[in-house]
Amino acid sequence: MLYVLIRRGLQALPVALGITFLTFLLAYVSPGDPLLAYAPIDARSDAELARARSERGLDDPWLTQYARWLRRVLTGDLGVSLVTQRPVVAEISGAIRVTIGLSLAALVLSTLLGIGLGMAAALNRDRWLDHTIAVATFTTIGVPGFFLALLLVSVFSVQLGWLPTSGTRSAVPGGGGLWLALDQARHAILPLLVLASDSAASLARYTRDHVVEVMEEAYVRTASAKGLGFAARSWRHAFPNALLPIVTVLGLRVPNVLAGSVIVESVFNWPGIGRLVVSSAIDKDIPVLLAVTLAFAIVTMIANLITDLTYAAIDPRIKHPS
Amino acid sequence: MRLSRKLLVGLVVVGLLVAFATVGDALLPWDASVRNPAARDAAPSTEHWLGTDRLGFDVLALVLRALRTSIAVGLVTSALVTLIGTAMGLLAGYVGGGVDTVVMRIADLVLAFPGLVLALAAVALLGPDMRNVVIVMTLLLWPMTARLIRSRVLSVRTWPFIDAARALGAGSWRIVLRHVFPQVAGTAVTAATLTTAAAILIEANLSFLGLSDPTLPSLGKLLAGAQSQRILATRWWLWIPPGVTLVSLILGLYLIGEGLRDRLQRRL
Repeated sequence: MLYVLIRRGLQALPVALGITFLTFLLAYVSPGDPLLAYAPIDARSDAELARARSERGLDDPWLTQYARWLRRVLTGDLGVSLVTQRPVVAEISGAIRVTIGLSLAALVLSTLLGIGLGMAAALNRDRWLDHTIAVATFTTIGVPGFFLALLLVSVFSVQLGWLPTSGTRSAVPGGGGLWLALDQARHAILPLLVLASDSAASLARYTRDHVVEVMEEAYVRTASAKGLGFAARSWRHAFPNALLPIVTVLGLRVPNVLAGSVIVESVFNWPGIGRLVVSSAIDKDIPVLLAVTLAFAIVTMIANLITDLTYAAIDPRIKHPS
Repeated sequence: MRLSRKLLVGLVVVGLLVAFATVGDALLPWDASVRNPAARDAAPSTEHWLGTDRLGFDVLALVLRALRTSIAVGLVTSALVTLIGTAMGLLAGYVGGGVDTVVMRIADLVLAFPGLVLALAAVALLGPDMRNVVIVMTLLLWPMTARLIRSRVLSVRTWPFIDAARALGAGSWRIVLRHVFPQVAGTAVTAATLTTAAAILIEANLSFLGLSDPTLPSLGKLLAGAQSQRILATRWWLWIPPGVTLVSLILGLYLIGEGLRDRLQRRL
């Protein structure tokens, strides 16, 4: 278990370094002067601008700047947002929590939905339920998240008025703790559905195909020869053996779910790092943009780690190495 | 050669959309650059089959223009990705050793990160013109093709006819180009189809978020304009048509891709 942790940690480091390095390089070659964009036009003379540039180290070679940025990051200093003038750490620490919560909930939901639908299809192989699930999951994979979001909002929020259109909570607090919790849950339904749908669909397809495949294996035939019923064969013999590759697929979905959070947070106006990456990209707020890409790299790392630990936990070969 | 149902449906859907994008201008009564001041914000009618927007532009004509952008972006990106991905896959798979490790590590690095985040940052910083969007998408998408090609090369490499070619004195270049490549070409075509869909999807996402070429019409941009209660409640023609067009295009390409893959797997 510890070995898995250490190996993953060592693998994750180059991802985080590579991503921030790349973003830094892009920021450096980016046309336009970040200082000019945010300085009041008449407030600064050329000499003052030049002094400001050298004070902030913007004249140094970009590798020097990158090294300096990394050193600062390691001490917890991510700089100041060019737009809000607030420290970047303050801007993203709350946002990271929102995105982690949303993504984790979406992963759990897509696992339950995906495995449930996949098993339902596998157990009803070649019957109408199997075909219906096949068509539904295939279609879902082809529907972009933002279009699905608009469709759901249009039906459930605008036409039926059952659910809120956006935000994480109602503007006017109405009651006690339970009311608040219910209110937040109501706000989370549509974002979660949109974020989970894509992964749930691919997981369902994968689960179905894999369980069907495992059902053909010799040991399942043996179980059948022993007189075990269909349900016992599927759940007790086929499913546990199909679970490992399913978890692998789930791990591969993590980057997709995080990319999906960018869309979902933008459409539903959730204050996470997904929305922050869009706004800082549009504003060219480079300190925030760098911090947010780093945050995404870290969140991806953590999620991969959780997948690996889950994998280790359910695979007896890793749990009890011979 | 019998076409499977998946392949057939996919080819018909994509074929129709491509045909519409190519000759649509001649069939439609309105051009996307001409406003109809007499019919602003109008519901579908015999004159404007899918209504008009607030400025009086014909929605169907706008969707046609946007569809063209999607198809062009998808094709160009897919061509670049397939070229680079296949070359990298052949290189990693055939040469092996350290080259394989380096190429695959880079591929893993790209695949481990949510690509859309990097695409957003890159497009914003480099400037949102279509050339940059295509370059960024190419950098994000080549690893998938490279992986598929590599795993195929690894098995082809062990086949006896490769040894036979080498025994006859063929050099590495000749073996890779004349003997290995034909065996992976089918995989490359499948990957190219799926890459086209992926590129169209990423571009739609970028333009929906407001970070694609502002001078080009796009399906994502049309859908971004629909994010208001008023439009979602009463103006379905402004957002359902671009959305359905996008979904059909992507699903059609997926169907072709899966159909091709099934076909390859049966043959192997």
